Amino acid sequence: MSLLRVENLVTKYGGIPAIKGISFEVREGEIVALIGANGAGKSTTLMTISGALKPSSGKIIFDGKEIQGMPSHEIANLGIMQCPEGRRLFSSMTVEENLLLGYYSRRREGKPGEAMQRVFKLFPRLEERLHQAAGTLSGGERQMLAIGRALMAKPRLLMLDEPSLGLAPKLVETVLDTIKQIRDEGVTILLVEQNARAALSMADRAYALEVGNITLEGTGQELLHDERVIKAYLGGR
Amino acid sequence: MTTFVQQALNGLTIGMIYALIALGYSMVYGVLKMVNFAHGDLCVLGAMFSLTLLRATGITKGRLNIIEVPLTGTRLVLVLGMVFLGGMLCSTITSLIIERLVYRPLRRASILTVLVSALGVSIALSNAMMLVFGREMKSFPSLLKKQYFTVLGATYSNLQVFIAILTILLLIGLFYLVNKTTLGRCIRAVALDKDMAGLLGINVNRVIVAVFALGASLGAVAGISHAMYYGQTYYLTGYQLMILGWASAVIGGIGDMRGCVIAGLLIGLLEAVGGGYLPILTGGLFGADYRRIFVFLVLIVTLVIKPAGILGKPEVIVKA
Repeated sequence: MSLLRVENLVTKYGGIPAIKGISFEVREGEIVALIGANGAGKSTTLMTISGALKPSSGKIIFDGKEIQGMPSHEIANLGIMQCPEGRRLFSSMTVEENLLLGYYSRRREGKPGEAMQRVFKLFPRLEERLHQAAGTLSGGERQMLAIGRALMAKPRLLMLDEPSLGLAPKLVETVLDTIKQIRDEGVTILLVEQNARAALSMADRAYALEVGNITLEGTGQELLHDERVIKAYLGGR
Repeated sequence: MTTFVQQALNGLTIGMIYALIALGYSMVYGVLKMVNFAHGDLCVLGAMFSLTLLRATGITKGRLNIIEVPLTGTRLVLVLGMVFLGGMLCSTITSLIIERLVYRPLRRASILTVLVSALGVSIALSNAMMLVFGREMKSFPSLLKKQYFTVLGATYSNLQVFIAILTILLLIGLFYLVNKTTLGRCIRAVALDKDMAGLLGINVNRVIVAVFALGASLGAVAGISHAMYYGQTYYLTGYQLMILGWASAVIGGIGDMRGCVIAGLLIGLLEAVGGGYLPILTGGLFGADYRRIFVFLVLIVTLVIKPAGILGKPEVIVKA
């Protein structure tokens, strides 16, 4: 069953369409990757789903409910969490405070201790840095905190925007492994990546986005071996 | 020496009032990056409204607002509660109406539009107070039966003690709220990155409303304390409070709460001590009326040496 379905979605930036009527779906328990070059509209797509941008037409259906145009805090409370590009941590606040803010949408369900322990199990480093200001963390730790903060909300759909951006190759691998681990714990994942090879190798299904249109779709493996993808995104012959 | 201690004590009292006002400016600036020029008038509105309550309940009588039976015990506590809570409520409601009708529709407008609108609100509010409460200077009762203590040869009144305790309690409460509670974390998150706060499920508008309510409540306490301390209130007092509160917020580092408190106290001290010595030092050429010179001197020096304020961080100014 599809957890998220996007139908003919159009979002404009100052009158100019950044995405031009795209449709795709994410099924429960999947990792779905959106790949594409800079400016293809990947981030715009995520921002529209999370409500940070308003679509000019089209539908976004989450768990059977139309959510397009809803304010972002209401969408977050439905269980969609976004790790936006650039991490967007609250850098003058401590690691703990950032995590607690992630728990905000679940605050009525009791103490955050259990959610916190789950995050520490994935990212033990965060526990060591608990009382440090987020701005003082290293690049890798910041990414862990950004993902950890989103996980505090126990999301049903986790949307990750360029989680590998700016990380050393070895860290990229760790982060991608963690994403698989998160999926295995039952969180559905929508992943946006410029690092197409990494994204496709772990995705169940993937869509290629080109100047606001979806040009290709298939399983991760299919796209990984598709001539056009190799040519356009994998730097192949 | 006695003059110095006396002026320092007086300065600390008025400085606490400035600190409370500066916090209102600073918190609103923190979340919206705008100057709520109407804040000074909201402070006065609190005082005006509680004076109306005192008259309506017959506690004060006549144009001089004399209390015929001295207030003691439970009665005093109840009257003080009514005066402060009533004033806070009135300022808060007015502030929320202004936020909803003026500032929220201008959330994405240019900074100049917002600035001019805020000045407009300030003028509208002070004129509305003139129409509703009258254009004359009004006497305001101190409510407390006057008692004096001697500190190092200087006189300290029970009203000054009361204002000091009230302010300190409010500051402790406010700092606890902002630093330790969920609402406080949300306020800081909204100040740092509204869009991200929204993505985490925080209702940004509600947080902004909470900040306006907190600012107006603190402002009302400051306005009432000011009226009790000087024994009067006037519909144009808000203009003065705006200048001094805003100057404190800028000198302290706009957006930084500790800075506001330090700068508020500093300005109160400078004003009182400087004003006390000015006639002595200039042989009577300049009277205490010129005490504001010191405030603006410090403001100018701060802006030249450290434009972000005593505790402010430069990037906050750049973002504005």
